[in-house]
Amino acid sequence: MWLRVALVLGIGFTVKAQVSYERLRESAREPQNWLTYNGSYASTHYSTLNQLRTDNVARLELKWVWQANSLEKIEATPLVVDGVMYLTDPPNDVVAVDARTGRVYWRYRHPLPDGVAPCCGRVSRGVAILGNTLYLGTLDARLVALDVSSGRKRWDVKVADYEQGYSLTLAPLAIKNNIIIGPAGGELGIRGFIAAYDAETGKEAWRFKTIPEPGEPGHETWNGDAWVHGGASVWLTGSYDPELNLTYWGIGNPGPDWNPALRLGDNLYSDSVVALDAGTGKLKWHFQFSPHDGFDFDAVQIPVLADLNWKGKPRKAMFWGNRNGFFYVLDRSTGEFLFGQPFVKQTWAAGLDEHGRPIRLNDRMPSAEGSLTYPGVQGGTNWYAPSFSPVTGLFYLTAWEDYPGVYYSWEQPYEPGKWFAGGSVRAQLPSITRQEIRTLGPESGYGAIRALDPATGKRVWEYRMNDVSDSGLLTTSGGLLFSGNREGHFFSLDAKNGKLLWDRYLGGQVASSPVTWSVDGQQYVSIASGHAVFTFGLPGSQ
Amino acid sequence: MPAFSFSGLQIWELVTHVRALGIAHGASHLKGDPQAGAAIFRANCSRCHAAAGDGGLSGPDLTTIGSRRSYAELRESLTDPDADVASAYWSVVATTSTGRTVRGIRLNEDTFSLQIRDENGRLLSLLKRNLKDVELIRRSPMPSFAGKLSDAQMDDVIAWLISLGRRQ
Repeated sequence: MWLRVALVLGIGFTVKAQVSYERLRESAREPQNWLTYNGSYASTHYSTLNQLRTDNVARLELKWVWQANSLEKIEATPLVVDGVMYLTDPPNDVVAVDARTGRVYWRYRHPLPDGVAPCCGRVSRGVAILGNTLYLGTLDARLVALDVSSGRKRWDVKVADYEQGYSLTLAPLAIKNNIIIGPAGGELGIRGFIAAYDAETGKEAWRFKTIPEPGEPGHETWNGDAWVHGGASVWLTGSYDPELNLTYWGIGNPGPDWNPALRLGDNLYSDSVVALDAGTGKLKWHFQFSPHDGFDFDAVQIPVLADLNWKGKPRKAMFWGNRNGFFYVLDRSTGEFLFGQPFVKQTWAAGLDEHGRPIRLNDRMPSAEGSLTYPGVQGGTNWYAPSFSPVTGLFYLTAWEDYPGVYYSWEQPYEPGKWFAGGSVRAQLPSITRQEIRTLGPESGYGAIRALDPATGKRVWEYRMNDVSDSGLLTTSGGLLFSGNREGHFFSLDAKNGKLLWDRYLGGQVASSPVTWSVDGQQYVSIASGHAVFTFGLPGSQ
Repeated sequence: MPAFSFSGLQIWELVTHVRALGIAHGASHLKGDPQAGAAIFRANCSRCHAAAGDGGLSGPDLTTIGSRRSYAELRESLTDPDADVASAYWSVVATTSTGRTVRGIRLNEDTFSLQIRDENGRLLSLLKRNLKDVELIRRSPMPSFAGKLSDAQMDDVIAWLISLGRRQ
């Protein structure tokens, strides 16, 4: 591992050692670091650091700002490892930053070939670390291994063909000796998969196809050749339960998005969570949130793993606030549906049946004339991180409330690498772009951070914002919740009751998740806003 | 008419094109007199609206409106200004905690604050925590010109606005 030593001279230097699999598995033992995209394999976005508390968070002050070279949106959540922050400068450069000062140690440049046209933004959500290597997925669909101390490339393998619409936007997940990744491109007629690569050599270890091929179970959920370009992309990092040796991944929408008549059937494993054996990639179970989806309701949310007392018995649970507007609790050992209910206004389903299958209202499907449906295309929530705090026992998520879309459907022939969505959606709220000026009325929808009791799904509190938010959440054992929003605010709430404790206007859209970490015994919290990363700490710290 | 085998995207592009045909250019056969329209505009509209670089700031700049709105929409805006007010021109009436009333066009809003421009053109910052009440007004401050301008005069104004759009 890297050990940071502060000498009396005030010099920080590092001693080379490795981030082993064991360190990743036991990441809770080193809360000074943020070792994976989601902070831990359980993806709770919770930290045991408690120097920042409800009674002192109002004293937070800016420590440093790192400015990106790029003017693309930053969706990366940084890693922090023994005093070094690693993050992507969009689209696919990687920088190592001195976490004490914000100064850059090195930069890896990844030029993209002409013709790279990812469906949904030139974004990268970050890197993974294992041993002394960083792993980056790129928009030209390559997996790149970088030396952690120099940024030099160790190896670089092709994962898929970018000219067919494949791109890698997620931060990979390192488990044991494998680096796991999957492709985006759900609006470009790709066929998704989750693949593991040997961390040393870059050789493919296994590949799970997110659309079953002829002869495989589940293939019958597609009519004709619809499965060939059926989407089911993978664009957000999964979770892992070391005891069960299962890794969990949310799967994207079926394609074409808004013309489900072109792909009759449930369209497995689109809009599902899949539980895979981490060693072999074999499917242990799956749960499909939105069968035969017509609304682009990717199940691309972070699987949050926590234990729950369910009807008097402890359960290994999974909490899931879905883009389709429902909150679900599953048993993560078996995939059993425990319960689910809406957490925002939704009008596409009458509810869920006893197995968690939506009772859909077919007259709400996209149509040539347009079908007004809640939630709109960005969903009740989306890819940004939710959080679970074992201190409060609450599940937190960013919600888009009272947010409608008008869904249109049309014919859609497939052309390689071209837009393949079968329709469109009209909404007053723009999808991702930050609006510097916001004058919409409340009927367009609003953003809120909501705390749910995961045992009942009931709302405990809400922090309401004027605009919607694409920011993830972080909770800490200091009783705090941190988040940002599209307006450009970064703030802290009391995790118990949602009361605003501290706010700073940073002026740029927040479209990633806050992280907390410590160096030299001082706790910091960092957030990407606009084209920069801002780091805050208490007065007196570095 | 035969059926066309257009792709969804092609249909959408066609719809966009057809919609563009419906803008006020398509109504250029109207009999309005642009020159007379310019004079009517200066007398009745320019206190609030700029056009071709001249006029007030409180309403939308109308220099290019003729290329973005149909004749029917422009006519409706003259006779029923409240029918379709863009949210960027909604106004607020705010009451401060000390009881003062402040009015203006709502230029921007977030969770904590409002930025407005009052009727004297002053830019004002309002912190929501200092406000007792905020009312969002979606009506237009513009009066209806039904009965104030004749049909022919309205056509003159519209003809002038269309002629501006053509010069862009």
